[in-house]
Amino acid sequence: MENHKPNKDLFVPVDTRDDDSEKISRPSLSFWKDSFIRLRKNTGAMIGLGALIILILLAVIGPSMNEYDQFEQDLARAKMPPKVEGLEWMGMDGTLSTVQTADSLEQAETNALMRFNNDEDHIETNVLNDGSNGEEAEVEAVYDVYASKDMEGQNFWFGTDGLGRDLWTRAWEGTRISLIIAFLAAAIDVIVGVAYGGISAYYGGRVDNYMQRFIEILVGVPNLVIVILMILILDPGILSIIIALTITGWISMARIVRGQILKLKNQEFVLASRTLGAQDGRILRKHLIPNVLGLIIINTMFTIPSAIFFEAFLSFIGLGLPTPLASLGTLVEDGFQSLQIYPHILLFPAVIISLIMIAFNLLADGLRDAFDPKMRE
Amino acid sequence: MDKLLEVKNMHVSFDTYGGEVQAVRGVNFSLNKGETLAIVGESGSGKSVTTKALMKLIPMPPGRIKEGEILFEGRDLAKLSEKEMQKIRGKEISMIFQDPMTSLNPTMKVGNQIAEGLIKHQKLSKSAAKSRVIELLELVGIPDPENRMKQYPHQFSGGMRQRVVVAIALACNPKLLIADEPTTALDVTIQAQILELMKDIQKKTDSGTIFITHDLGVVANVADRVAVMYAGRIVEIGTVDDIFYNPKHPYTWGLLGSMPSLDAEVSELYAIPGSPPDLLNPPKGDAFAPRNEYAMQIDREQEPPLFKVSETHYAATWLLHEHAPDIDPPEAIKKRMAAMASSDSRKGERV
Amino acid sequence: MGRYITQRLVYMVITMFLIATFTFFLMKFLPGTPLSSADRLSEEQQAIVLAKYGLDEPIPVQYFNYMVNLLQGDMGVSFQFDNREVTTIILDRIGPSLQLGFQAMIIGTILGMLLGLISAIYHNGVLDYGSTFTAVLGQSIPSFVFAGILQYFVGVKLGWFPVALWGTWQHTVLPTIALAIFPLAIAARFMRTEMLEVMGSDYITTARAKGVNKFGVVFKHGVRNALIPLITVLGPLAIGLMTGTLVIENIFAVPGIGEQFVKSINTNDYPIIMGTTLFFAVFFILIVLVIDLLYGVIDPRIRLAEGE
Repeated sequence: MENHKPNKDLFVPVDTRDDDSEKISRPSLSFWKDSFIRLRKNTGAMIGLGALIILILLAVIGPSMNEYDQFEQDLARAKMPPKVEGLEWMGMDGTLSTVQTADSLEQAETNALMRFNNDEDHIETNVLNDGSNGEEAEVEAVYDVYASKDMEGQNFWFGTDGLGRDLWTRAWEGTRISLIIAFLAAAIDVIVGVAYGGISAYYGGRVDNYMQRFIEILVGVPNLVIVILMILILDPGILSIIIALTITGWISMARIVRGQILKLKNQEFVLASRTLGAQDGRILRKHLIPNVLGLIIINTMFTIPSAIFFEAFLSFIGLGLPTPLASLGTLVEDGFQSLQIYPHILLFPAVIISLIMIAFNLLADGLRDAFDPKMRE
Repeated sequence: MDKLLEVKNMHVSFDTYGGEVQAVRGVNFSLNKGETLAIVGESGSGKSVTTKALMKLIPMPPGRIKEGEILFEGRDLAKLSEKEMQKIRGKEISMIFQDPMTSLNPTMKVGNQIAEGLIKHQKLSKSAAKSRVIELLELVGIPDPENRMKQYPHQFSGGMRQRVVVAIALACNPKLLIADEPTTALDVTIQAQILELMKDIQKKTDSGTIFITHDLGVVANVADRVAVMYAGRIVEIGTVDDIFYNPKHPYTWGLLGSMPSLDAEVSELYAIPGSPPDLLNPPKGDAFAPRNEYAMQIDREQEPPLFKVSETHYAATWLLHEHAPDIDPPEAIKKRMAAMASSDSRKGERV
Repeated sequence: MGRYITQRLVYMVITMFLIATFTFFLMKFLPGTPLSSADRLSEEQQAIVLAKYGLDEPIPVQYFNYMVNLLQGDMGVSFQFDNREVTTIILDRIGPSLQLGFQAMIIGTILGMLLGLISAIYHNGVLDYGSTFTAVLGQSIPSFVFAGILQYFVGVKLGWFPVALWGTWQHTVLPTIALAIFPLAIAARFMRTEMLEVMGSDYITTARAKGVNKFGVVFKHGVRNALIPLITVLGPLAIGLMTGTLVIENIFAVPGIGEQFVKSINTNDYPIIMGTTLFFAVFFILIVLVIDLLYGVIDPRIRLAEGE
């Protein structure tokens, strides 16, 4: 030990009263600040948030970024492949290509040309395998669609659909509608669910009992069935989809809110506060709401992507938005019609809907971790 | 006497996002065969980590034994691999845990949980293990063992479950038994039963025992020697008599003073002000200094070494240094010390 | 336990009754009867047709008849396929749907559990991040997008499996994968969380203190306790698969209930829509019940506590 001969002068009493024996050595952070800091540290959640901001921005301004209208049909320019100047290397060069195989080179070449209506001026053929080594001959044909239609001045960034409508405009219009449906559905779920759960838990007793029996019966009904039945009764449209989604959607929120409030109501810190004479309003503001809010936010974050999915699902089974309105669901459904030859029609809405779902799920996971008191050290 | 266990300068740290938490900062002690050592201290003093580290049961990572030796019958456990440790755990050293409600596997029959160690370490057949399980359940005082062994933990009361936990620990006749606050989670009446059981078992077996507790009443009841831990170090160690009747460290004074007593001449309980330091940034000097009303300038600057009070009694406080002023311990402590006839010199030698 | 089951059965009956009633009145209010496609019939002819479908009776009588018929498994006759009973149509088409559902459920949950287990064992390692990332993708990306990817790349470009239709086992491969991804992702995430929680619990330390090796700790003590709560997600997963088959069967042109259902929606064939909806409801309710009972059987705490 290095302190072999401590200085005699050091053996004098010191007053400990004025110093920091009662000091709490960690900075005190409020619940929200702490949660926010942890959310910010969560890379996944931040990526999700960033992606969401970009996607929402595009949904707002995307449709007005080019000169095309979402309903503007023109069969002359139907099913144009995507073309973006500067992104030709990514395959967004406005061409279609095919690889044909046949027994002889000539046959393969003929097939390749036939594939694009023998419009030889705008087809470049490319022999991949001349068949001399006993294998089948392979010929690749690249067809410049924009040149063949004399539309070299135009750029359809995401291409066009079967009716010649610009897919960029429609994709972002569709995103906007899907997001609106999802946000409204989530908002209604929150309002109804929080009110129902809150009232049920707050009044307790017989009221709670009846309200819970009602929920138990509703929970037994598959929401798929309710949604389908509702859509059948109502005229198809944004409003009826929202109603169909919310008619059972609020139940999980109501259960979560009720459970949490019941749990909190009897917890010591609430009792302590009540014993000290806190008014109902204060207990509600300072104890109940902050502790329930985190759960509500998390649950909402999971509701939104599931609403987006359900909207798309309804479009798929023919109960979606009426034509010509676009939503991500109707666009994806449309894309499947010509998937084998024109995959781009499916590609863009599918990518957008996937990105939105991933972004929301990442953010929701991050929020759940950030608000989870168990994660606090 | 034969040394069963000798811990030399053990440091245990946990690497967290906030930095390195030095949970145990240089602990030295030894244990003889058949002896019971109690480790006392408040929550977070490192007593649980110390014993979990002996069995290498701390989660690694984030935990690690930074330095030091754990000599068990001469072998350094700190250097053993996980595979080698598996042969020692449950066979040579076993552990009784704090909370019987959570320390039993809820989906496994009680008998199988006891037999598991037997089958693994002693290679017993199923039927041999079964009869041994019945024997063990009888030993720990569970009636009707033949039927009880086929039940699940949730069919047992808390006290009964703790008896099962004791039976699991005793299954292979371990040489060292570590009891980590075995009575804390139990009702007072049950506590007494479990303590009786443990004393009984100590008599019947020859195993050394380390008994962790923050209840000094329990210590007087079961232990031969006592180690007082504070902020990851042992601040005072000695026989039960040393610690109870001739305590030297101000922290031990505080602990004893905060213990209610039935001979209520001193009606007021003493409370140690403040809370233990954050082991993420251990303070310079004596970790107890900020809460110590007898603190001196040197406590702020240098960590006190262990001073020898007697052959069996050591304490880490600068108050034992020859230069230190004479300090009157609190009244209650003085009364105890007076009762202790064999008082040694107040000033200790340095070790 | 007995009381619990009785209570559950009572709720089940109430729910079914409500759904059936709701469905019946819905049919009454919806536009479209057997006559809508034949409005040039004379009044007598119309009366004959109405009588044929029992639509000339007063509504309460119709309701009563409908309920009685339902109890006998008779859900009426399709508008579209003349005189074919809805029950027959559903039974004809249930095979492929059930097959796809079972395959996807079994493959999805088993692979998902393994993935989650690997994640938990190698917590915070590369494998953990990899499988968690996979699970997030699987949970987020809608099954129909996966279906598109599989159809285009595996079906069209590589030509490994048929793009659509039904017949051999090869036809089931792509739709099964597309359906299995969601349950896989959910099972993986759930298993990971549960396993991490279980591995941090006291009884795992007890097991380690007994000298049990890592394999024993994970499989004997860990997995079983982690699996019990996993049962609770099986119900929602099965129901999710029901939703999934509606879409996937259409994409892959599988002749199952889902495909029929969508066809009927597009042709306003209400008896089939209603019949299938009722069928879905019964299926859903049964799944929830079975899962509940299964939970009781597997968890000794519930099994024994309620048996006493």
